Amino acid sequence: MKKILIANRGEIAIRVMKTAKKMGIKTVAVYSDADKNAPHTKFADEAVYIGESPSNKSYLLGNKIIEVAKKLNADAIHPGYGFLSENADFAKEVENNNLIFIGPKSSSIAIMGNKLAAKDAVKNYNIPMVPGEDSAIKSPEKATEIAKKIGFPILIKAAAGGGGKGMRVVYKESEILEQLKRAISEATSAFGDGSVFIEKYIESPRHIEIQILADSFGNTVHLFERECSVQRRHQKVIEEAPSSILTPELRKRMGEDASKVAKSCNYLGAGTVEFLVDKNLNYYFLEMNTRLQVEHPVTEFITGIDLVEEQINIAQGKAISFHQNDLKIKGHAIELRVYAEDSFQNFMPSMGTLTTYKLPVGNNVRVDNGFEEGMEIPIYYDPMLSKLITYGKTRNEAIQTMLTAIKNYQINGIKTTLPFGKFVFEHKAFISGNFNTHFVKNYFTEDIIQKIIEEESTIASIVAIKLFLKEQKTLKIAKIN
Amino acid sequence: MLFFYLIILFLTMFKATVNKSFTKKIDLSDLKELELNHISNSKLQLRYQSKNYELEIVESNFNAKTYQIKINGNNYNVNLADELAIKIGKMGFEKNNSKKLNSIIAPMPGLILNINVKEGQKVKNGDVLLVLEAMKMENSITAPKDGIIKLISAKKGTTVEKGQHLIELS
Repeated sequence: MKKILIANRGEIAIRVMKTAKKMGIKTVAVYSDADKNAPHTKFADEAVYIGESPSNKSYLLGNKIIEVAKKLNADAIHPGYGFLSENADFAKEVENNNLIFIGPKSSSIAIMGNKLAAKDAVKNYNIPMVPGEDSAIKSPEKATEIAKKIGFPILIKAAAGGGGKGMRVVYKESEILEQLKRAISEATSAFGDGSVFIEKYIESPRHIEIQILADSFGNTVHLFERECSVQRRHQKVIEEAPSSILTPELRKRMGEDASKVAKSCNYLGAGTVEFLVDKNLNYYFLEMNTRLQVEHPVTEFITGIDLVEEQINIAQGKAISFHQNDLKIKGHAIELRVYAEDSFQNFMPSMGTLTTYKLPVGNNVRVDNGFEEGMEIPIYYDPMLSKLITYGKTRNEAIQTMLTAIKNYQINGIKTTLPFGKFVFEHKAFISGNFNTHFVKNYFTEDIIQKIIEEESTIASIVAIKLFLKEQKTLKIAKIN
Repeated sequence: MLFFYLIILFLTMFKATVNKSFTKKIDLSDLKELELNHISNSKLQLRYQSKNYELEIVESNFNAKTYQIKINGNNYNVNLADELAIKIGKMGFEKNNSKKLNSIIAPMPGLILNINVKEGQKVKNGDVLLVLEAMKMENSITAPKDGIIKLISAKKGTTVEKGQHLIELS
């Protein structure tokens, strides 16, 4: 492989390019109108314009991207995450055009991309599953019937879904109709496929996932877990590795089950098997993500493995560079996703221009970033600015480094999830390790937010008055003189 | 001019309005003990009730008495009024903000996916008024109180800017 086109934008495009450069491989960026001067276009060796800002007119145009790759003599396409990364048709088209798709075969993507097909694929491997109905639901009557059978609360999920879109929890019968409509509508607009299904809603679960790698020689290894329980709107915002609740025995069992899931769909490359873990440490297979995950850096920190390098090598037909027994967890890593969002206003997107944007630097601090000072946040894409990742010999050390890094991360012009991160990393539930996916609902309540705002408003008022009085004094002295 | 100075010299009370929503009266005598320590030009440290705060002055305007202070990554716009202004306020010149609750405005730019209510319809606190799509997420905009839909200025299928008026309640 001599040249790779990265069919993505922002931090992940840059992250992939970094490893490619390290391996002596040339890189091609693609960009839309909104991203003309984006850092990822400057970081690449070559950059090609592919269309208008809305992603369906640029980053989702598979054929256009393949055309560019061929014209520039690229050998392979790395899809990153999101956009075309889990599009089986695109992977197939790439293969058909004699280019290498850095990811699994299109057939594996197709199986795992549909949650119902995925359940079907793994059912012979004796992997624990959440109780539910394994076929698409069309009518509210059918939904009610199933809900009564498995018991409330239930979770309505999009079969083609991911990232919390088209996902609704229903606590009582009277809510089914409205929530089913919402879920179907969201699934249709997000994935072009409105089929939804129903599962028992596991209360107070932890979201723990296993990173796997599989090569074309039949080797499958797992790179331990990532704990992704701190979420908002069903989407991850804080991740860490290792999890503070897994025992070595449980870790081994989940790792082996994750490898089986990969085998069930003839997996190739880097993938992630997601599990829910309940309070009694029972775990259930949730889904497999057939791509590099946003939160992969925490795994890289604790294993010392460059996952993108392994992906590229596997795609070139090389074997995984290590064996399962070579791997050991070393230290602890934490990630905070820095989103352009107002944490205090229900995590609403926060638009604007980055009038100040300075990244924190330091030992054991990694920032996978896609923005720079003066840039506007495009409204067309996911509002993630960067990922802030810190490492420590212990979990507490990683947390303390994180808090310092948050303090040194200077952003003005928009609101971000940095204040939320500070709240979480200082919260006793997080510090103790005893928390679940309801962290936000349980601890980041309206009352608490009001208290924080009041306290900080008081401080801001005092400072303003002090500053005013000081300036007044200076002025008076000047007048007298 | 002399009159002006006299007022300034004898001011003992300030009213601070933060982000146009939070108001606090602060007695100057309470501030005497507090010290602002400059770390750099724009960075400060303050100890208040034994807790240490690091702050940043993002903007300051002495004449308008407005300050933008950043604490823990959060921005606070402070508007100061002194005793005289407070008295004027008491005489009835202050703007009344209670009407605001009746106007539903777009909290972010997005696309109006659906409008669930009609003009003249009665709604309860928490009822879904419309669905706004932004960043690929559907956000339900709900009624902040019980009332009647007086006016709908939003149109289904159109995009709206942040702060744009959507629905008027009464």
